[in-house]
Amino acid sequence: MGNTTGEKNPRLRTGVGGLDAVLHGGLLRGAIYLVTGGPGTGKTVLCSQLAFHRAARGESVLYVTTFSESHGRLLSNLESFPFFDRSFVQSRITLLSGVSALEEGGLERFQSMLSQAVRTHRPSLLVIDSMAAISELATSPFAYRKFLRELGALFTLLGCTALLISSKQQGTGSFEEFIADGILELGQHAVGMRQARELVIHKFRGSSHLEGRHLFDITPSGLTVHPRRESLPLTQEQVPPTLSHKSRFGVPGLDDMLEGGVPPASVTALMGAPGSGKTLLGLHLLAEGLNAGQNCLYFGFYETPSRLIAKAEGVGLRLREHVEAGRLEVQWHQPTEQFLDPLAEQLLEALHRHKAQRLFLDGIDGLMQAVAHPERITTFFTALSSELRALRLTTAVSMETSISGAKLDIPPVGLSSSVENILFLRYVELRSQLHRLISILKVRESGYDPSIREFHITSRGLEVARTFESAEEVLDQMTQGKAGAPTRGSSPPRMSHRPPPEDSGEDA
Amino acid sequence: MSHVLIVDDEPDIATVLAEILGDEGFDVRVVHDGRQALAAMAEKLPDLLITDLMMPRMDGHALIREMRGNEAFRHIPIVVMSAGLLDKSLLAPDLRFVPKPFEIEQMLEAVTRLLRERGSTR
Repeated sequence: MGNTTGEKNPRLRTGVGGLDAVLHGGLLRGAIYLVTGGPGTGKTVLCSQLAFHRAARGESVLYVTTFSESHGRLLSNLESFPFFDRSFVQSRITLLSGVSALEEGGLERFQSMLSQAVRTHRPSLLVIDSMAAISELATSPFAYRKFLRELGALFTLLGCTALLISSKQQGTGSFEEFIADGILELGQHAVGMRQARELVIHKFRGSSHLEGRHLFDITPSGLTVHPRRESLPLTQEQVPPTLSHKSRFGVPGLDDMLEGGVPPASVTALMGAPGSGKTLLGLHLLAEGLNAGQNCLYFGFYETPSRLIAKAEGVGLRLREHVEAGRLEVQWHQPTEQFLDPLAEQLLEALHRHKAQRLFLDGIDGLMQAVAHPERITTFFTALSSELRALRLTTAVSMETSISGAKLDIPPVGLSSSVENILFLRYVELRSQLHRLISILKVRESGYDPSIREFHITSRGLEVARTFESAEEVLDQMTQGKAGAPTRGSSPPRMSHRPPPEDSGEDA
Repeated sequence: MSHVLIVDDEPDIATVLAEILGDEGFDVRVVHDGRQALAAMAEKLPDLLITDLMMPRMDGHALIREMRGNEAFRHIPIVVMSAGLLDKSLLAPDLRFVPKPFEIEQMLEAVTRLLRERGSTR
């Protein structure tokens, strides 16, 4: 019997990471699937991984090769993968070659061999690798159609799911496409110097599925599909958070402006030019959470963990002890080699594993560099923000704006609408002195002070003036032409370590 | 060896089903509509009939009614396999309905049970 586990599920789970999510639970038993794609796209790895997964569940699998590659070569190409288990070969996975049958008796002999093997072994899964030469050996198109139809009937009656590997481009109108219950196309294309692999389900009879393109990769662990984040169903917030427990930054002037902090389970954009203090402000949010006993995650692209912690210590934020205690996890990802969805999966996995309550995603442009299709970034971020909200996380995301003192330039277009709160940081030069300014552009369902404040980065951290006068003075002089925004190529802004005056709490 | 007559206008299903039942030890014949079935039964009485419902010339409902009205055929147990619905007036203790698409175990279970109840074996 094909199914020795007594499993009655009409779905055949694939064991390929992410694929069952794309297929809304797996392949359908007794259905025929065409696995198409150019050379080297991973068709054989996908089907083999599935075969070994089903074998590991105690089921019988039939793997029929034609003119693609020898059994020895097939196995040696697979043996480095962790899913490979040689003890399954010829015990649960029966390898058959169809070459002799095809050469000696054409399609008719091959069909007879296949039919007999399926009736004898009663596999839950059959793979034909590949269909390339089979159609060429058919005496007529009618004979080929008859062959495929009878195979389809056999598989349906025996509850055997079939994967037919074909190197033909999808959309050629081949008869396999019409008779197949589903078409899985694997492809790859260049993104700059990188190579992006993508899966598209062109057809999936009898079930819904996640439409569109989904990234996949083949690593030493095997093939993993990364469903497009925005195509996944959104997790709903179970209980709406109350505003009585706001999340503080631990920066008194700013927390006052925010009337106690940002709303819980909200996403806050920290927007500003390079060097304006976004990362330090995000670290403040984490440090305040850590001091309140919360677990936190830093997920960034540009600062290595050691540099980040040293930077934090330079302004009095003691993060190292929290890292050592396991309450703060610092993840650094180079933005150059990864793609968007795998990064999002790593982020969410870390949040779940770490049971994080606060997240600082530093910065969004690192994610943008990881995108293979730039038009996705807004919808992707909207979906990710919803997921973060559903996890009831207090999240800060740094977003880089252009270097501009007076003009508010909010990139990337559309992202700001996905966040509940926006803090804007900028700096201007005034009489050879750099002044940093912070303002709140929006806060969800909560009041806030909309005035612009000056702030300083000191050895005690980030300090925000308690009134707007100093900022107003800076802006007045700026509009009078006495000040200007730093330009690209000018000296980078230096950290100010001036402590604020003790009496007023202001810096100016 | 029990003799089974399969009536189905879909040759793929009929052919494959015949092969599998043959493997299971049945003597199987295949015809493609109700009229052919009546002719085949007149030639040699089967121990059991497996029929589709939707077929050209004479469909499964008409075939079953003909059999019920014919003294020679009325005691032949019937398995109906169809994606459609069976007319409830045709329900009887010696009739089983197997909805299409089905897996072979469902069909084998229906066939062996009806034959056992009739006292026939493979």
